[in-house]
Amino acid sequence: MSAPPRILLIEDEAAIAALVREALEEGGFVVDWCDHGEEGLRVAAAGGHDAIVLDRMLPEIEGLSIVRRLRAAAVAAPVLMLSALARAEDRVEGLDAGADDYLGKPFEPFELVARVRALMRRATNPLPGAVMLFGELEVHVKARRVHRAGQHVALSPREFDILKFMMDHAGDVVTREMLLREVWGLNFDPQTNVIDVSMSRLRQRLDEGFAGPVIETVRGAGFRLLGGVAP
Amino acid sequence: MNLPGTRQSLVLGVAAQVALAIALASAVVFAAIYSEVRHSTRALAQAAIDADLAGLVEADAAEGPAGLSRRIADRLAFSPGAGDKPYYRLEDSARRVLAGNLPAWPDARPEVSPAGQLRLGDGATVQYRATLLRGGYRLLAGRAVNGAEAWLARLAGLFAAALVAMAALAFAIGRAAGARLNARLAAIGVVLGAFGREGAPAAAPVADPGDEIDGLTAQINSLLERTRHLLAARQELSNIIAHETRNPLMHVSARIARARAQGLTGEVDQQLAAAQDSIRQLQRMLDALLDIAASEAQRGEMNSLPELDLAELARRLVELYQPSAEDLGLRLEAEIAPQVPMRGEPVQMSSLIGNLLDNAFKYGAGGGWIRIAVAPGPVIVVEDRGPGIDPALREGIFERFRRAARGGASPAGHGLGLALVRAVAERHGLTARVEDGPGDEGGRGARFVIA
Repeated sequence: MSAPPRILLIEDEAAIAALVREALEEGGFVVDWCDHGEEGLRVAAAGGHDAIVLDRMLPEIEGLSIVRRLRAAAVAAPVLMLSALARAEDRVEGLDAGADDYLGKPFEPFELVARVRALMRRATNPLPGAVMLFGELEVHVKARRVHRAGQHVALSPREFDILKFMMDHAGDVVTREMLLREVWGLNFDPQTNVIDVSMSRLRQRLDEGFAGPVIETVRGAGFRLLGGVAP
Repeated sequence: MNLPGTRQSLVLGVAAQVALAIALASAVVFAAIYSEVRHSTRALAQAAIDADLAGLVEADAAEGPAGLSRRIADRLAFSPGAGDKPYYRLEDSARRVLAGNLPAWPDARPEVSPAGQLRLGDGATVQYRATLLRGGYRLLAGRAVNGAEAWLARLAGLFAAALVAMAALAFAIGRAAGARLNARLAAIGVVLGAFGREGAPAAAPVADPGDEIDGLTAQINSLLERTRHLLAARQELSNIIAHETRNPLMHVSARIARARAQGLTGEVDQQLAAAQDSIRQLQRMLDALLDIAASEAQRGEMNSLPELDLAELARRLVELYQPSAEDLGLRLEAEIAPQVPMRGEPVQMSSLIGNLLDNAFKYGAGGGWIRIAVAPGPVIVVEDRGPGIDPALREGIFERFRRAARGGASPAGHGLGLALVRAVAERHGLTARVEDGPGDEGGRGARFVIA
């Protein structure tokens, strides 16, 4: 068995750090914690971490400038930025600065773990194959065709984009915010359940004629593809 | 270098006006001097001629016309240079010429002893006085004044040249001074124009010791400094609010999640799930308030905004909202121009359109129809055939927490959507208003216009 992935956590508040650490360790990661921005930069530059979880509001140095310096120093590990600044505009700032993902506080532990896993997968396997397989689902990327348990499922272009994105993150939670950004190319916080409506249509198409669902709603977080194969 | 946004130069106009004023004043002074000099020159010449004539009249009294003729001949014999050559003419009562060199008698009646000037065929200008002698004889004495007249003409030319030179110099000095002034104003303009942009200069240059403009610049700089501090303080406060509420909520939320992970069921689990929802709702409200505050703080500040195509943004949003419209049994019509370029913050403009659509879905769904139009300007119109809004309440609905102002049931939401719409519109130099929509029997309808 290969060594467990190592995460570098840069967070100044011990209480939050403890929460994050606990969640990540439960998720099977090894966590190195730095409570100081400059020290975190040094440790990150030394390498050896599979991902970096970085708080945006550190007392002596801004998280945004840490990301910029990490990128300037060609540190390859993907960065997940945590922040109490969680409005859409704040998230765009963080991503523009070079963070690979941005998670607003408060977040739930499983969401953090899911995001970190997604980041690492993206980092190690950036190009999806021509055919993506997960559970009963089979997605032909180029032909934009979808099969469930061998049966063709007709999807609208947008529905296909949603499913394709979920296949990229198969097994992990994708949030509404991620879907909005990656599928619709929009950054803002809708006040109504517009994403859920599109998601429920996709679900209806995928589930028609089958007993069990392939997409589960994770309350307060987002959606997840289910990998189980129906008996 | 002109200030951005100026069409004509104040400085050039002032320089031209100063030059004109100096030219006019000089012209008046020069004209007065010239007229005085000319008058004195002619008076002097006339005095000499009059004295000459008086001598000749005395000679006539003493020696008669023959003696007078002799005197005239003598004087002509002593004639100096052509510049002030003397001219005489003595005629008897029958108009026969007895003496003198003036070829013809001018149009002058000797009875009144007139003085005057005449021009001869050879170009000489002769100033003269004529008089009537005893026995009907008449006598004219004169002198060429070409030298003096030429001198007067030169003087006039000199004055005119001086006038032109002074006006030109005044204009040039005015322009040069103006250009310096303009450059200094432009330096202030650059700092003001770049305010809020990344890497903008913090202050306009101030000389020490300075003049009035330096004084003004110093005040502008201190105003900019204060504004910067206020903006930074506002940003810091909003960051602190976010930080100090979200971190504790993070602990609460994590504990609830942990408790629920223990495998709770039934009433307890439902209560905890509801608590989590409440936390999320609280966050959304807080975010909306911070969004509004951020937009209000940046109101009208267009410099730092990127170019964006509002049409493209609107098309994506319509596509996002279309399935929800269908679910609600609504027809969502979109009339979006191919391109609507504007300077705008994409997140904020998305929120603006999204909130207008959310609002129409919530309150206008009863009419079964919603239309969004986006046109260059930019102009955004979202209208519905719902119950509409009482004219008396229209201003109020754009204020925070005013959702109760709209009749009927109060759907879920934080009541900040339209406040955010107005704040974002104003942040982009636009206005938000609501009017009657294309209502039918179902109600008056509502039309929201951002323009």
